[in-house]
Amino acid sequence: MSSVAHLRPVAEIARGDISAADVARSCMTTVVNGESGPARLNAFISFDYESAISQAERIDADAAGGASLPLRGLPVGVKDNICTLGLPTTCASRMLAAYRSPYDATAVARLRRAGAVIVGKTNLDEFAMGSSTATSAFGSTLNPHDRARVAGGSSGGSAAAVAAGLVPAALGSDTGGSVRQPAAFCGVTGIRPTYGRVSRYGLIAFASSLDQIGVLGRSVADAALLLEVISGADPHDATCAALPTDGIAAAADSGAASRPVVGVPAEYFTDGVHPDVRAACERAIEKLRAAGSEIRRVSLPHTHHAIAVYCTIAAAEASANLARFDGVRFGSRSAREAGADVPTQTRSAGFGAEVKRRIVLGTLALSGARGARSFDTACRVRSLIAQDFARAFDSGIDVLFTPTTPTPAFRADEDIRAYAAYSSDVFTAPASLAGLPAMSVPIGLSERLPIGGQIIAAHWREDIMIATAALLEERASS
Amino acid sequence: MTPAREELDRAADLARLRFTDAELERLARDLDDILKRVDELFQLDVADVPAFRHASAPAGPLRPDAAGADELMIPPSYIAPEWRDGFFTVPRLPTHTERG
Repeated sequence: MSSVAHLRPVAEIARGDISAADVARSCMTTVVNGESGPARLNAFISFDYESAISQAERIDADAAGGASLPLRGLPVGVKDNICTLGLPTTCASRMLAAYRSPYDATAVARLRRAGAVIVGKTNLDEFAMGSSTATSAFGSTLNPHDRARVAGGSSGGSAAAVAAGLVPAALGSDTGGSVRQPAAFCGVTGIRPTYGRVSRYGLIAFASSLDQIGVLGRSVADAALLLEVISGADPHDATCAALPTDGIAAAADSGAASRPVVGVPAEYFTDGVHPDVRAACERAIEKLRAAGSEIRRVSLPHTHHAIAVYCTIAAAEASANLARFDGVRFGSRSAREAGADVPTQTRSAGFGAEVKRRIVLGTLALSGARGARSFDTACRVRSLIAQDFARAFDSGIDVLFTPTTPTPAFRADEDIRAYAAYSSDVFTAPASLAGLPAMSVPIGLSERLPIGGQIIAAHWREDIMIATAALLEERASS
Repeated sequence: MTPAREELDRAADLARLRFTDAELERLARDLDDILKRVDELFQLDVADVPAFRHASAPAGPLRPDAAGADELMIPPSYIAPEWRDGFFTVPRLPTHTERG
């Protein structure tokens, strides 16, 4: 049995050339070895060897019985803010350290129905709030390319697990960039779909108007196939659109034939962009031009307000969503001290500092004299940001190309707080605010650190976004 | 604009969070940095700009309009260690009185 059987392209695994049980053994041996001892990346919060093998054996039996399984035997990591039966769902928080979900998220259920094997739950920033995985109550995830650097966040565990070859693919979640940014930092492909493309049922909410489940993979084709499987209408999520999903995976095969009109927004190439990131982007743009694409310079003038808008809206929605964790409805109840009410005690002990900071920020944005203006103004400026994108796409642009992050992965010992902590989301937050599909693909290295290029498309146009990414990926290897 | 101590105290109270004085001082500094950027938004003239709405798309199927909870994927006994007469049993709170 090959020790890298689980790292074949998803389509090969799904063909059944090798049994699901052998793929699972290969994967789980790698996970067990990789997540043990001082060399561990801490990509996983939990995993279950026996369960993975058992799932795989059932899949082999079902396939032998004639079942159609498009992801037959594919091992998948699931970010630990997505509910799974049989494994804990902790959100990387003390608050949910003991929580066992009574149901699978719709995205997880669809993966299982397609024959995927759920390997384990990947690490994240606590309640998905962060850009490094450093706020996890279970320790940081290290970057496989440089263990002194962060893996990114909040889906850092998923990105690191895929980059290190522990699993071939993983689910993440993206609110302001939490799939794309760690994908860029770890050198893998990460897709955030259009808001409403993938059901949020079973995704523990951070900011409900921004959250989307996304996918990470070792290639554009792998990520696109996973996205197609998990997409589609869901009676449990009224914000999930009833639109066709076939064609999403096939878009990865049409890269060479695509000639997208590519917009390059000036506001994403500012002085704060690392020289190696700028150079990698310029090379990628030239590759697209050489492949026959028209390149147009565009302007998205409200881009510089995006982080302030994101901070306000995300924190406000988080303060509402996390109100349920009170030791009565949800959450590990803290021991009662004299004079302290159960919810305050539970929340003060159960949440980490970053989560508390965002809850207070959100509470300020929704209350008192400041609250009367903050949230409403932020929602209106959000419209301006969305209108910038709409004007670009209405002018004939097929996709926008930008750096995913202004710099490669930062050092794990950097103490980045407050506003600066959002700085690596400066290029990812705008697409989130507008509800647009966006993805990151590897486009180069800064010394040994990966650099990601971001492709943004119009609503529901994952096809052209993925085709453009596939074109870049194909050109990168030529 | 640094949030006033009273503002932070009230927000913490509303959020059911408790902080030490040192934590509140640090929180004030962190939030000052963020709130300065947020306050810049107030300089924009957005009176005639509608609040953001996501792109519309065909709505998905609705669940049947029927009373009752969704069927569980797993038995109730899996969720709670103690279960009696159709109810989960939980530790008694001091505010509860004995009922006959």
